Amino acid sequence: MSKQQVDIERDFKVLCIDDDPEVSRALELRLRNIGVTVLRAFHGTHGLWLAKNERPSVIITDVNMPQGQGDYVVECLKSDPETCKIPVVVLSGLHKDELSRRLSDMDVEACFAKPCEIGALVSQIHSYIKGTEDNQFPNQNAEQGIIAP
Amino acid sequence: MTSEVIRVLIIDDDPQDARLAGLALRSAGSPTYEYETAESIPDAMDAIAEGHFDITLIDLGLSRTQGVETLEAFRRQNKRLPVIVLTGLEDDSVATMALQRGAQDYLFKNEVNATTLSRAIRYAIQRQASVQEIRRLYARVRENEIVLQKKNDRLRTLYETAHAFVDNVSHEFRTPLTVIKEYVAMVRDGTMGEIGDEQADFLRIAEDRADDLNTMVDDMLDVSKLEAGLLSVCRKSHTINEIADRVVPALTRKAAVKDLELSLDLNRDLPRVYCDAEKIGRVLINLTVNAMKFTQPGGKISIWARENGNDIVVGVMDTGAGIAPEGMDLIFERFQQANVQTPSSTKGFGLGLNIAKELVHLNLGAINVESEIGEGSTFSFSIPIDNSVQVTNRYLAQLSDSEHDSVAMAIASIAAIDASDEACDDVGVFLDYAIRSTDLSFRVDDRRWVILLPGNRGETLQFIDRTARELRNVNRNRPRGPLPSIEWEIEEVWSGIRESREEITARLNTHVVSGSMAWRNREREVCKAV
Repeated sequence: MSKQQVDIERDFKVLCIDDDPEVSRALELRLRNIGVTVLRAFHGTHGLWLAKNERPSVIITDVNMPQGQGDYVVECLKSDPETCKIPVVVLSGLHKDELSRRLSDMDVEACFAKPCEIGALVSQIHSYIKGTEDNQFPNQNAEQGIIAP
Repeated sequence: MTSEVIRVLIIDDDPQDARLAGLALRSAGSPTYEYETAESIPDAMDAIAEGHFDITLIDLGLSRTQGVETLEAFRRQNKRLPVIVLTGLEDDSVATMALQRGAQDYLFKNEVNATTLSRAIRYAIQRQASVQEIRRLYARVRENEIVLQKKNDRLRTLYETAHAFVDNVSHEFRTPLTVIKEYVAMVRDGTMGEIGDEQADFLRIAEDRADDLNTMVDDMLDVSKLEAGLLSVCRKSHTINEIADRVVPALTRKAAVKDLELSLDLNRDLPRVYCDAEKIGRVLINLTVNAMKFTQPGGKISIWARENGNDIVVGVMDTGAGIAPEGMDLIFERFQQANVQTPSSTKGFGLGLNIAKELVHLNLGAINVESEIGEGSTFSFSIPIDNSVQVTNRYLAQLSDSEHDSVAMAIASIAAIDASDEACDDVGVFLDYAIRSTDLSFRVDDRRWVILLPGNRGETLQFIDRTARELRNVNRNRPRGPLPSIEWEIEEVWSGIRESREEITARLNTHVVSGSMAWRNREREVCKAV
């Protein structure tokens, strides 16, 4: 995979799992500016399905949701060899204390408490995507051979 | 005894004996006695059903029952009437048994005369009245106890419900707040199309107020958790700048909205501090927001930090209204607001300073205020410099001051067994939330920690048990495999910290100096978790 081709095919997907559609809509608007497509799931099961089928570069998930709590979603993602390498960011309304307690038995890359500075969240996501580029992280495109020469 | 006439029921199957007793009563004079006789317990019950009696004299040897059995048979059917055993049976052990089974007195027939019998009767009536009164009071105490227990249960439920409610409300507030803040920000910064300066100003105010609302939610949750002793604290080594950097952007935005000048004077070379960064960040927010409330537009607020002995002191100085000396004591109390004229938009819960004080206390520091009416105020707080021995000293001093009695203190060491560096860090994260806010833990090297736990050996073992259970729970959910095993050792338990402060500090110092734990087999109590 050459860098040039990645730039041409710049089609990164970020999956946002949140039962509040307006949260993911805001993220969608913000991330569109840095050329990222946002996939939106409104409950845990939907999120898992999208994660397996769409192979996003990064997954952002809420914790308290109907049909599949965030911890369960993370557990499924991290124990599935197909999705375990995708960075997961938790964005939750839980208080920091409670969140860090719950997260210590989860395996996530970063966590943000609502309301967060979206700028910080976006730059975190950006750093994962850059990591994907630099390290030639296996992603959807690579696996499907779209980019590979 | 109100009635002048005392009515006596004499139960005796020997009419001669009954008559003798009756004659003795007649001759007693004052008070006046009247008597009836019965030959058996059933006869006696009939007589009691028909007339009123103040006391019974009973012989133990009746035709159908003998000894204390007779008394028991009577007491089964009548619990109220005072009873004196009047018998020919001179037996101390029977006498004792009779008294235990509800007789007021035990008299031998051939020792009795008018005077002694009369006195015995009066005393017996008095004693029985006291016994009845005690029974009545005891029953009432039992009743009250049940009522109190019910009330207590209800209060506990209410208290728990209130906590759960505050928790839920705060969580539920955060999502809409995120949406409000973010949507306003997107319109304000032009993401959704160009807007004018005045429109941007208005949106900035809306954003700032959403920040206020978020602070209030945090305050509410903190107060509820502080009260219940549930607020956890994760003390680590940080720089003051690191802490300030996290909160200053929001404060700068707020200062701009309020037309205040916010300046920072934080020397980058200050020693590191030992605290919970998030909590100290909240203190800085609360003190600065408070300063902003009471400072008129155009005023100045400055945040400074300097070294003072074993502490770093951080101050927030304003050019606001100032606080009258009589208000100074109240200012850190809950729901108190300084009595100054402020525009209504600056009102809050009155929790901010109280929370700041509590959070500083949790971080082993002290809060202070200096103020002059019309000149402004400076709120400052200290946090210990990152030096484990000094921090321990401070911790022990605070514990000695806050507890009425000298508390016991255990020192325990923890080691992660056969663990990679990464796994050790995970153990560290686990310990951070497993320990209580009253404990003090230090990581002494890559895979070892030492923890001070207030409490005696039993309490410490309970804590270790609980932590082991918690670890098992965590391990069930960890997709990347369980955390490494950890080994606990209670090194020593001191019965009172007041007397042993120096010893405890010295012990901690040995860990720090050696950089690794001195593993002692003395009093080894190992709890293999997992």
